[in-house]
Amino acid sequence: MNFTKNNYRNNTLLAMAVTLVLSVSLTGCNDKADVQQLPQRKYQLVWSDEFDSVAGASPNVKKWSFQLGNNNGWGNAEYEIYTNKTANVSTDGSGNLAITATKVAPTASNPYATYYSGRIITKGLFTQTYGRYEARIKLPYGPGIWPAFWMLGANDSIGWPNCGEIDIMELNGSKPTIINGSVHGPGYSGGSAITKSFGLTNARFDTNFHVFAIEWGKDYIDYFVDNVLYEEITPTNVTGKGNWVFNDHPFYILLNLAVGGNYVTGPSDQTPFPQTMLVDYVRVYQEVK
Amino acid sequence: MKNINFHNKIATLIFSLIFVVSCSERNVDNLALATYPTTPEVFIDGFSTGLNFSAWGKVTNFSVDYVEKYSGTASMKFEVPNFGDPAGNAAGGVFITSNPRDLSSYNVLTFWAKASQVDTITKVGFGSSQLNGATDETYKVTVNNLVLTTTWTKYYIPIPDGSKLTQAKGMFYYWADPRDGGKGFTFWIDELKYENLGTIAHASSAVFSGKDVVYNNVETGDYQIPDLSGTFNLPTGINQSETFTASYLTLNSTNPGVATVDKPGKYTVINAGSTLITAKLAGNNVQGTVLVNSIGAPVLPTTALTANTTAYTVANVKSIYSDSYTNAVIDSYEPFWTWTGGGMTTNYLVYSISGNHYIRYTNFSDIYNQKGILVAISFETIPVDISAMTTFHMDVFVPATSPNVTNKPTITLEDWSGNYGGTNSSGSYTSSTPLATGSWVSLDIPLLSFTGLTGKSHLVHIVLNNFPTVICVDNIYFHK
Repeated sequence: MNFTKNNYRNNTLLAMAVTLVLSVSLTGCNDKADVQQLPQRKYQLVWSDEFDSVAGASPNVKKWSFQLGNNNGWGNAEYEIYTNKTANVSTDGSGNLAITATKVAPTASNPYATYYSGRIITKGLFTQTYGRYEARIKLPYGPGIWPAFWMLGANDSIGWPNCGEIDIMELNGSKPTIINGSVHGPGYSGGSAITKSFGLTNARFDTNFHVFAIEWGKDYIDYFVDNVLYEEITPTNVTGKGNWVFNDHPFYILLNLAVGGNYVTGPSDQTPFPQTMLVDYVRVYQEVK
Repeated sequence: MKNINFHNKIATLIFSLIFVVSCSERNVDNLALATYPTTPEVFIDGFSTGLNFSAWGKVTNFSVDYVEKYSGTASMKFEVPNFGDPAGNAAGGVFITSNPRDLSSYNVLTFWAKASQVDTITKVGFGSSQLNGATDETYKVTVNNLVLTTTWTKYYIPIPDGSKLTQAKGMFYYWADPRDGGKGFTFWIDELKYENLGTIAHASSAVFSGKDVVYNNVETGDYQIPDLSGTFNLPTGINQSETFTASYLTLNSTNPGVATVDKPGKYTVINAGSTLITAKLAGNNVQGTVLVNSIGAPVLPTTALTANTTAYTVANVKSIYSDSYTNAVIDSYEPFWTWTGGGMTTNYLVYSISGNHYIRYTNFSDIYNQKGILVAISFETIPVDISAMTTFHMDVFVPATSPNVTNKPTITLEDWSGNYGGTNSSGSYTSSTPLATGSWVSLDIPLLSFTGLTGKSHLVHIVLNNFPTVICVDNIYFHK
């Protein structure tokens, strides 16, 4: 059984657009002081990948496995075909994992461009309930480019969205100044997800590394960019929509770079390829009580 | 022969109507030393201080629209004429400030625009100032074929290196042709201004198409580096390409004793030797280099040739260029001609030995890969009637140091009798051997050898093609 993110139906596109607009208008530097009130939390590192291997090495098989193919567009009409080739997923020798989307131009026999990319997951290798999850990433860009650092409930055999999905960071490459943090669950998935945007002022996420993180505990998920809290999602946010499915069960981590799909629409001729999502590290902490 | 289209810049200039919309003269005494206003606005709801407009093409193509606008009270309206409009076939113009501005703190020109239908502005950019006959395009930037839609959209024209624009005058320029099928359209531009945006990213650019070019046997002198193409990623995530002048580059010469790089967009060869010219743009490396191998000073003939006026008396000659005869009225020794994918880059100088003049053509900056000289001598204004003549004569001197000495040159004669009730025709003669080097060579070619030349009563061009990179020519005439 395959589990996918943002399993939009056709009639949810408008809802998604409205959600995004609202999110953008709600985000701003001014309310930083209001939401920056956090209880003191003490964390201990329990799992990480620093991606310090030599250039051209595949990710550590003890930490990551590949998801391959197109899988019917992963539920989102995505264009890319995921591979386990080092051209698409490998360490760069400078301490980063490079997930690279490549484009093969149309030919006489194949009138459409073909896109290859990468998607790696910790399912079956590392899962955890609660804690702090962070990654330092330099993002790719361009219309049709859709990188994500996210999590799915390890109980995904019960089906999506019941298993729960936490999107720590996803970006639409046609808006390189904005990332989104979201949760999907029963009654609030796809275009109805609980989501909020974080925008940089007069700067972009693809020119420097930024740290994307959540702190997740019982009845809360807090979202951070560069240690600035911009969103807290609690059961209150899903009241009247569905059940809170983020308590007391473990999740696994996903890193991927999608091309095309309902969230971003297709790449244009002016989308530069290849596009690379550079991940300096992924670190997971547990709270020390 | 390449298919050459005449691009008459002079005519464009003549037909330009210059009208000053607002021009507040500034008291020079009040100007602080070497500082200029940093005003970013070009047109918000009206002309910014000191801004002038000069039209190209159909001179009435621009107006201020107080009904259609993106914001505020007015926008700029441009009406692209239908093909064949007797008032002009295209809409173009330049917005020039009479007070230079310091734009060094900005990195992009932005505006909002829409069109009456989805259509294309052929050229749009800045850095072109063409006012009262004086042209300065040192820092010209152009986005080609910008597609507009029918809804107001923000557009961006990145500045390759703002630090070069400390005294900018050309604030904006545009050129729009009717679309295929010849239908005109209307477009509007509003909120035209310079900005400093952190959301313009991933600049990359290349000179010499990103190649490492080698020029051999280069002579002392100034050499212009051709325009570059650059790509910038816009705040919308898309890559947009633009062309800009090499003046934006910061050049380096590895051997400044051979060539210096003190002039914008040029290198100056001053001595024999080798040097590698590299370029940076706003601190970033630029793909493409030129390795200059110089021989030093130009190799000139030590003697001049005088026409044989005994053999060819004045009565039996129609002369184009010679000190021994009365010559045709030459419009240009190097007219600016363009064709698909190229243009002429040949330079010329007139030298004299004891009062006997000759023309020396060079083409060391062979940016269109012509592998030698391609140039025309043009006398369109007063065509020459060679109906009674039988032979074309020209003396040529090729220095042994010239690149491409093994070229077998072609000479083309063009007749425009079609403008005078007859039929246009042209004929070419190609030499079966290369030209000898190191001494004057006299060419005497029967007109019958110019295959295709049918009319001879209104000769307008002598085209020299595929000659070596350096040639001296003299005593160009027809005789019988």
